[in-house]
Amino acid sequence: MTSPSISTATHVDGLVGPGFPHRRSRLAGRFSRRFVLTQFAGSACALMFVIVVNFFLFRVINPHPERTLGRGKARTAEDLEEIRRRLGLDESLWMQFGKYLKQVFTGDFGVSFQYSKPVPDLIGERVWPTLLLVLPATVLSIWLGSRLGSRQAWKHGGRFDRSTSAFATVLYSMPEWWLGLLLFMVFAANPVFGVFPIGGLHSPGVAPMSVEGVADTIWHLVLPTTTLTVTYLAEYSMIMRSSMLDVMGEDYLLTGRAKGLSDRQVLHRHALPNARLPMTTLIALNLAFTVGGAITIETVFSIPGLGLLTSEAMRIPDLPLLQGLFLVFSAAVVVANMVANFIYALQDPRVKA
Amino acid sequence: MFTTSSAVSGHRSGTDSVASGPGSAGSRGAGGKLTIGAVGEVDTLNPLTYILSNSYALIPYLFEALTSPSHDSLAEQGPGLAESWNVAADGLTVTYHMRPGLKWSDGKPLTAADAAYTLGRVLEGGQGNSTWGNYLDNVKTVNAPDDITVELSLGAPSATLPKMPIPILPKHIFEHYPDEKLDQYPLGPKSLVTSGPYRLLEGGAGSSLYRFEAWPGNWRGLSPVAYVDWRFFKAQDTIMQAIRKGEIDYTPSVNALQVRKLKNRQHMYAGQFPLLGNFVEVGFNSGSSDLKTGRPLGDPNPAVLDPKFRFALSTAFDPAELSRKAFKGGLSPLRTIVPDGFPDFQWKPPADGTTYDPKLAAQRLDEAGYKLDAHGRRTLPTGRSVPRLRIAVDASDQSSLLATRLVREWMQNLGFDITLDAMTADKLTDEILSGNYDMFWWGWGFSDDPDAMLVYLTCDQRSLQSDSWYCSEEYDDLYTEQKNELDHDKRVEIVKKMQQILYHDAPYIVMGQPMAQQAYRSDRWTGWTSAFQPGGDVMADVTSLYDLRPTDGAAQDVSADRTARTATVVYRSLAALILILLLGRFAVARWRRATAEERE
Repeated sequence: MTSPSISTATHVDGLVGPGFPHRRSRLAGRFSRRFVLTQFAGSACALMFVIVVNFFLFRVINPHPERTLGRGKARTAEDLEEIRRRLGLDESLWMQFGKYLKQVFTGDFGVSFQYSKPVPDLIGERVWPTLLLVLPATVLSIWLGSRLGSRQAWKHGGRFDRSTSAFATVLYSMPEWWLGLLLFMVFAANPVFGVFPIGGLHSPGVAPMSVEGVADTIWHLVLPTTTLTVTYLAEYSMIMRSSMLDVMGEDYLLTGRAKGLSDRQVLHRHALPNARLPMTTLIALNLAFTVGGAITIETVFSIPGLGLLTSEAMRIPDLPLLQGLFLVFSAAVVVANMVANFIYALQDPRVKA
Repeated sequence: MFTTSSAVSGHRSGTDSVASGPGSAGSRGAGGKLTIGAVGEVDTLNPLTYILSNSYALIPYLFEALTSPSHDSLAEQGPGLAESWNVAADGLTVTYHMRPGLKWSDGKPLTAADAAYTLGRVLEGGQGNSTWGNYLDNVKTVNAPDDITVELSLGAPSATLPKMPIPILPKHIFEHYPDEKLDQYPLGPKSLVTSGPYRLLEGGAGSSLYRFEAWPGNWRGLSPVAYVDWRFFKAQDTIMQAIRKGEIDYTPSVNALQVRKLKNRQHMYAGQFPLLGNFVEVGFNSGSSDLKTGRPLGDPNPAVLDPKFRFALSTAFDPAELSRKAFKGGLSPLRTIVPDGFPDFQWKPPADGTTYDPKLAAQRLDEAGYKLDAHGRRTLPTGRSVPRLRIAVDASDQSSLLATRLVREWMQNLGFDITLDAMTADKLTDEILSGNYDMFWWGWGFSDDPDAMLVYLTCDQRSLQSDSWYCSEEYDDLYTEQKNELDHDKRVEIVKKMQQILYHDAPYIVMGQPMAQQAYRSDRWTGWTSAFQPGGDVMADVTSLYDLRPTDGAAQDVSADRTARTATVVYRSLAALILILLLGRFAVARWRRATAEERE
């Protein structure tokens, strides 16, 4: 049986041929050198662009963070100058830019204006609540959304398809904070049904790494994760459904059936792998966006993640922290995009041409 | 602008008490846990670098000062690390007598050397100075002649001394952390060396939870409240639900509407009280200028530069309607920059300056040359139409936004074209200091002495803390005079004269004194004691918490830990269920395979 879908092709221009070192991995053999170089060069250019914009963007929004920091404090011009000096804002813009570049390439990022703490430490502390919240929700919604979408398409036009498609549209159009508030009011605040905690990530006095602590954290995450899962899955199910509908008319499915394969086998071996192609980029990018957090859900459920850290940093503005955060967010998206391209190329050999 | 450092008088919280003397560890068992819920976050617990008012509320748990806030009045102070103090007759020396035998949490002695080091560090500049320097105005040197005596030498008398709320830091730790290394100062629960009534068990920069444990080494002795949890939420609604549900015991972060909803509930107290050190105002650009060149700065409307124009508007806005519509009843009357927390110093403006009277405002505008033209619009004294005015406001504050809409309406009724510019607080600060504004709605809060506010209207504060760019030589002279005047009655007279000048020059039109709201559960803790005024702040300072006693429910301390227990039970059940389902699925799959093979 031939399927145009995944990875049966082993001949790739430029990688397999006379004189090519045999110790190269099989994976490397699947991509052309030009393809790999293009991907890396494109990502590097995108990152460089982000690094430069990152520096100037926040200085355009508010060029005087020392004024916010000095509010109620700086009573003399010397006080204000001292704050500027401490923050490194007394130097010329180009000097600041040079220092910033050095910090970026040494992974330093400086000290937060607001928290008086190294930026990497702050991001390191706050990334875990975000990942605990958003990553399970994203993975769950991908899994549920794909299954739902494929089933809708497989039996398209039927009662299941009609009802769940309408439901998915409602979920897709629903603001996540609204659903979060609804779940919060019913399952956290309500005196009868409110079995879940009001907010936060864990109960006071419980060691987070103990069995009780882990269970407690999961218990705190049930409502916010459910909210995000439900709102995210609609997107995946709609795209999967539409993608499945596209491949369902293809000849190779008919061939599969003619060979005597069951419906289930046709679906899982031939339809789904091809329908997943458009999902690849979406999944990769959404996984990258998980580090950006979900500000509204973090607010409703009082979870101190990167989303809230960003909104707090905007208040000053806390330039080193904002620069660090946006670089992490952007780098995640750029890297995820590159990974998506490689996966796409693995799934669809035409991309490597 | 609301100050963020020594301001917020209404929300300082501490939760320790001394029912018994030092070392009475038996009280810990009865103390249970008090949970406090607040909106916002803590930026750092480093007393030298903090910015946010929540940090200011938590720092006294960990660090003691020479004096502590008085339970009775904002203007007074009580003993702290210092048992007593005296000011020399000429006002040039202030001596603090510290308690003997004080210790840090690491067991090292806490002596006058620590106090002299801390005050000296603040005095010499740097980060500590911009945070606490105003308490050391006129101070030249700080000495510690022996282990329990701290001596301040002044260049000129200072009326604000001997109040000294600067947190005293452990010299043996902080001397290793000069300003350029302060970001490396260990603020972790295990490494923090403190002197306050509590030790930090959990929480760091920006955490949503801070847990404190009573520490017996504090000079007050062991608090009967064994644990205090501060939980930080991001929305007031969440806090209201948390206190209703019993997840928190006290909150200063509810609004007037929520107080109405909570106050009739069983076992709940909810109320509001005037913030005695705060006021809200309509401010004007009185003349922004580049202080180096003397040239005008920014683009103020010519009308707002005229004191007669500003004074005419004194009766144009209705404080009662502002309170009712914008603050839900949470604005008490005040028409001067010295709020009710300092009654001696407060000057009462004449009756025609305090009553809402738009006709009088219109008449004063006419007299000042701002007459109505044929289209019903006001003109400048030159005859030109008054250009469109702008009123700026912090968009994050709902009450301020509503208030500004009302002010805009009243201005339009008087014949002015006016727009509302809502923006973030940092942007508002930037626009004000750049002179790009005409009017604004904002507020101030301070807690120690009227001087803290009076100074912000001196000429030297332009481009710094002055948001009105106001400058008057007469006012400045009086400011210096009151600062150096040690005779209370004479100082009061000078301060009143200063308020009179401000009333007529009107860089601010003070619209009232905002209320603070609070709620607590009376079924979990008893002995809540109001500070400063009946029905006032029950978490204003350490002294008011000495009376707190847990009920049986609080002593057994159920709410949060119950969540953890519930979670464990539920997850064990879920794990069992999932295991059963997996086994079931495995069995079904085997059966299907078997039947399929049979079919083939």
